[in-house]
Amino acid sequence: MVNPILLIIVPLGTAFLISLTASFLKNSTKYLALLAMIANVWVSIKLLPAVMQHPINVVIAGVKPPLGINLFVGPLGAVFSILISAAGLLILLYSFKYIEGDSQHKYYTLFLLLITGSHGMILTGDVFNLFVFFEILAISSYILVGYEGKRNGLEAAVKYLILGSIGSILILVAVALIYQEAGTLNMADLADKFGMIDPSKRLMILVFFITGMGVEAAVFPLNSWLPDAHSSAPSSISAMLSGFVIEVALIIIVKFVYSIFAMTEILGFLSLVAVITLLVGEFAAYKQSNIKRVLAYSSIGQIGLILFAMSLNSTDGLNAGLMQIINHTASKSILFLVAGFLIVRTGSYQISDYRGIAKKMPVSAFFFVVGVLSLLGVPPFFGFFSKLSVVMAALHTGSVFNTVMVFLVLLGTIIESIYFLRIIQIMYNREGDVGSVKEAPFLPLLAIAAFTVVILAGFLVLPQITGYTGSVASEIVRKMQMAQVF
Amino acid sequence: MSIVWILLNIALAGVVLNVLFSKSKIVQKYVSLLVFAGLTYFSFIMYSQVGEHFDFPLQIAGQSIGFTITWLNYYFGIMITGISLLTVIFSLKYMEGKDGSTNYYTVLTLKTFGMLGVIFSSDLITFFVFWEIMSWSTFALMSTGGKEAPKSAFKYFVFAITASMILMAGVVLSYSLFGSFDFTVIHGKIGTLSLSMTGFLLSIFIVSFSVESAVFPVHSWLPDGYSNTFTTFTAYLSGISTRIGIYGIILFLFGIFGMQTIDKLSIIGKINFRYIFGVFAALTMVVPTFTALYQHDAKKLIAWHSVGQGGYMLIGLASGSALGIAGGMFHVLNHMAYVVLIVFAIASVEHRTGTTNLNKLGGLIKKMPVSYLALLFGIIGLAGLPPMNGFVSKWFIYRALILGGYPFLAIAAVIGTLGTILSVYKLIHNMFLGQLPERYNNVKEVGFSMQLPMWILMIVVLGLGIFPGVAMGLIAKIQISLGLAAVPYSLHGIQTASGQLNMMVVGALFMGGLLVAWIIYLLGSRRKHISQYNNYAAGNFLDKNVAYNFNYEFYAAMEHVIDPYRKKIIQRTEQGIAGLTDAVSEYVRRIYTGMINTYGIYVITAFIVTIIILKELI
Repeated sequence: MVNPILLIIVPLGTAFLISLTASFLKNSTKYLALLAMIANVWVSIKLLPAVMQHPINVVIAGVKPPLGINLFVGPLGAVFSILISAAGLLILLYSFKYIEGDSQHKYYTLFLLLITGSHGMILTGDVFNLFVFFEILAISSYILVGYEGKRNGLEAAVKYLILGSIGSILILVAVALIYQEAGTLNMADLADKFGMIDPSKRLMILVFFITGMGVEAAVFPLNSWLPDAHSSAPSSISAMLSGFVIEVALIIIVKFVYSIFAMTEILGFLSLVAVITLLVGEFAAYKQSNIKRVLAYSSIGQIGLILFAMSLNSTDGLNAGLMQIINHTASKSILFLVAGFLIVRTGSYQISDYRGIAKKMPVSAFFFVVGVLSLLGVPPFFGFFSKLSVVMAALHTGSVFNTVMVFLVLLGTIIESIYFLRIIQIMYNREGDVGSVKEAPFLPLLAIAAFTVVILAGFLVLPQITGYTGSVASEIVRKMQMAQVF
Repeated sequence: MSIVWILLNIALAGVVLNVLFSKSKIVQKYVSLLVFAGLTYFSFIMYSQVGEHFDFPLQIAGQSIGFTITWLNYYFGIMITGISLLTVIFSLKYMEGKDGSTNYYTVLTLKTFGMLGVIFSSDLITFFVFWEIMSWSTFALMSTGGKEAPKSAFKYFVFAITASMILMAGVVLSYSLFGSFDFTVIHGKIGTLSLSMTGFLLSIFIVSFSVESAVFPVHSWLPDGYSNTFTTFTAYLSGISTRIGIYGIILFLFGIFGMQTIDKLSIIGKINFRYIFGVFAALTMVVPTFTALYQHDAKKLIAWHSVGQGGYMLIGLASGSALGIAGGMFHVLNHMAYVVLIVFAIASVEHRTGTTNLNKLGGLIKKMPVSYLALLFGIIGLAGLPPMNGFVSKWFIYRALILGGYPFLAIAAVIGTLGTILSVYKLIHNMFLGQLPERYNNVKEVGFSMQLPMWILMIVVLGLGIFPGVAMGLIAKIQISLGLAAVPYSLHGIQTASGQLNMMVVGALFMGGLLVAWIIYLLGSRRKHISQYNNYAAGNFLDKNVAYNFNYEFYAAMEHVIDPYRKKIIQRTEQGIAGLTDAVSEYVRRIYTGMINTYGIYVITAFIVTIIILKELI
């Protein structure tokens, strides 16, 4: 059996190794990062069948929880690890051609730290470690947003830094309160003891934790950093931030609400927030003229959709939300990655400057269309099945509130389709001429193609995928127990 | 191996081949010809498998999904493939050397694939999946062609995606109510629903299909969308694409909900679901038909009629009687035949003259006699005059409305027909009659490959007019399979207790009447034959700036009369909705000010609000 701790140690260690060897390996350090990511994918794939049988619990340094620190890997951890490492690997391949300049080792170091943080947040079984990994993730993403060193990138990074810091302070307070009231930081132990805490203290813990994590999870109105950060980061980083970073934060909220705090009473509030987030995201995207801002706002909308599905208080809803996460990771990565080379080739962020670009960059444009169609939920792409399951899960609850919410969600989809189609029409405009623009290089296109394969072939392996997401859903729904972990 | 599989695989193979050979138009042409010939053949022989059901090797939510063959979808299947084949034959020559035609055959094949999938599906999921493929390919189809095409296609798309989302809600709602996607299962359980829920669910589906079938007031996408694309696509879209919406309405009204369930949905007395639906259908007949009078472009004029004629089909269905439903279904076929014929004639003229502008054409009768004959046959059908097919189905519909006690709807139908006659006269006059502009001196008739589809359709239009029994046999089978009463028919018409129709007699009488009129005309003395180039100007000095042309502003006086009643409510409502969306978007966008201090306030506010709300919840 492989040890899940490798998922954290390998990228972390490689990040240090890259910093150490940067002076003589120069830009070749990217191959170290590649090795690390390949190892990560391999480990996470090996992990999946094992945890489907029985969750893996790894005790660090021999001290048993609740005193020691542990990693707890159930289906949730394994599925997300695959998502993170696979998307990470493809985006890394894309970065090889996309990131230019002399000090590339910084990029790859931070890239791996971002991966480390994401894996850590998902896998850890300890609340304080969660905070630590959150900080690793957050700090590396602040820097990566400003990596290009341009004015708007730095400005966005500072805004992100300030809001992210407020978020992490709130989380830290929540962690402190947890330790003060429950006397433990182990998640399973906390799940056992949380019910015994005084209700007003429970409320404060909940509010601190949700609002703190909500900043990173891009829930309205805590997401104000996102449009700037996701749109001015390098496109590969935007793909990561939109593709899995915000989802990781979101799934942590969901996991805590369901299986640790076991406070499903608040889910109605969360689904209302989710639908507001969705509508705000879609309406804000509707009038944007900057392609990356459109994609960033659309990510807000998608996060709203995912949170809506996950706050239905049913296994079906969680399952649907997870499918939607997979869809969003693949399709939004495609869109950001294609947008990256559209921007590089034309030198412009403005959608109106891409008039007729499909003639010059036919492959990129095709991938963009596939990404859009899947994001919108057009059959037979994967997005259709995930959106269908979201709607099915919501209407299956039979409540009038959820039925109304579904109609609002579908309204959001209409808005989303309109602004995406406008972009596609501009790209395929027959009269337009963008001058001498070249197609994106082969390697990035290959990475994008891999994401498209997921979307296109997703429905062929639909039973398998729903099998995995289904067991993740049932893991989340079940309350964690100390006895069950050990 | 089921024929449905063969059909869908051929269509899909056609799409793939067209994509693979996108560089070679010659290969695309002949591959498409072969594909559509195959589709037509297989769809016609499909009657041997009616009643069979085929599962797709994939399950959704534990439900098997698949296809079925019924008389209803057999009827629509042969229409789809038949008209696609004629369109392809016509296009072989028509599309030669046209700009932007690389994807022409690809989108045509894809669209046909989508439509075939929709009509043969036996459950809501398959139906929805193919419905989406169909809508997106319609969008792609409309985007090809002229400069304005992408814009009007976009308008269609906004309507279509809204309809799709409503449909999706309906699909999922049915699943959560009935626990199944299968049409027959849902049909079996429909009686268990409460009346309000039945009404809600039915409205969801009907509203969604109304968009695709361009029912007033959600029709405004159609005229521009259909007329800005290639003229052959105008034919194909007007002929069959819109009617898939009608298929959906027939399927859900009669096949899934069933007549008994629908008749329970009554508000007060006669004001029931069908009646309300009928009123919308009547508006669809009247308003667009009179809007057609205004059009100065032949394609637009016919596109508006496409909307209007849909109203006849729907009002027949809404009447609820066997005769009316038969009329509605028959009118789908009849409309398809004559409208495609008309548009082919327009396309032929366009092919030779390069324009479809009615203010510029004229006098082509001697130059293009076959096209003229085609248009003449077509407009007689469209106007609903004997001996053409349009008369038969419209007669059924009028009669059903009068017998069913819907005098106002019947009057609306007659008013609609009046408008139709006026505007089709404008069409044929401005294209073929009157003076011939000098620039068209050297115009020739189109070639054989373009004439052939027109001849075939002329035979169909006239044939179905004189022998309506050929189609009525199939329609009777559909009605019985849907659990409705069938109309007793004979080869030349129908024979019911309340009256009969024999098209031989009607046709002979009509021809006799024409003969009498012709004789009177010949006997009269106030005739003068003038040459087509004679531009008598009543003493006015003519120079290039004076537009001396009868065709110009043909119905100016009538437009003057109608104008005060045109309020453009639909247009204003649409603009209002678009404006509202823009305003909301602008407002929401301003939430993200870009100022870090406001963002900080947001976080603090969110924190406090969360405390307040969660305190209540816990």
